[in-house]
Amino acid sequence: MLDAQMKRGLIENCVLAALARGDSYGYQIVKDLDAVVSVTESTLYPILRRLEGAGALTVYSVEHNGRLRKFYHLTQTGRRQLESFASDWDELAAMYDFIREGLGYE
Amino acid sequence: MNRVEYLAALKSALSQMPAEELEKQLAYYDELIADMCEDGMSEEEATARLGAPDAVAEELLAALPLSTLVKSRIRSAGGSSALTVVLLVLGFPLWFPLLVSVFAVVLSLVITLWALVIGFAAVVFSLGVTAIAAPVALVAGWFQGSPLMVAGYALIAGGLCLLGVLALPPLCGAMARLCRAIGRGVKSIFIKKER
Repeated sequence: MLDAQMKRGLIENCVLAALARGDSYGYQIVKDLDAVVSVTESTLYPILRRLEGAGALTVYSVEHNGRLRKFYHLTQTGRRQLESFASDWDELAAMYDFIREGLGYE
Repeated sequence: MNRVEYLAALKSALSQMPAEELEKQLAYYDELIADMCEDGMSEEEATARLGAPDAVAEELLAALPLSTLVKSRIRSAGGSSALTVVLLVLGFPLWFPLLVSVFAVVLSLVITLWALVIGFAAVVFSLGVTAIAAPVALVAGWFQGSPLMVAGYALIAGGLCLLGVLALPPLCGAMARLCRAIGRGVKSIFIKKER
């Protein structure tokens, strides 16, 4: 089991990455993330709110089938955050490889 | 539970949430249920997937910042009537020191817990020093006594030191978890449990 703090940070960046592929809405984001990590709708909401508060994404509404659907859009700030995470990740990945090699994995 | 029932249950479980925030949350869940239904689920399946309203509410409230919880707690305690404001102002000399002392108690608890860890580390360190110093003192001739006894002391001290070193990281981890639990406990005081 991943450390809770670490997992939250990872999920947050996965959300940003989902939006880097294009604007999306709540249910779609959950479905997109489901391929890599199971995130409940209730976990996603506070993350979206926090990212919105940090200026990493903006929200707009689009009419869909006679109701409003909220779309989330990645801002420049959000993209920079994601890029900085990705570059930090190279270092982490190197450590991870080192650990696995130490254990004799391929 | 259908969509309307689910949203009503969620709303009552989230009564502590600031009104504006509550509105957004409900809109979010409303949209999710609608999207799931479009995806081919029934309303009952969709609400079952979202989880029990109480559990959802608990997760959402725990994610709120402490300051928001305190504010809404004060507001829901007596509304913002003129009387409440007057009482709050007049009662300031009373509730402010109380609040400060509560936080001081929590802070001192945390400090005490870490002082235990630091004390333990100091004992482990001094055992290590003993283990090294005892043979040195013997060789240098500072110490009069049976060499065998000194060697025994050194071995005991060294062994205890090693055990202590092994115990230290899990102890630190446990303490960090305990402190986080205390933080969550303080936060949960402000989450209302009314049903």
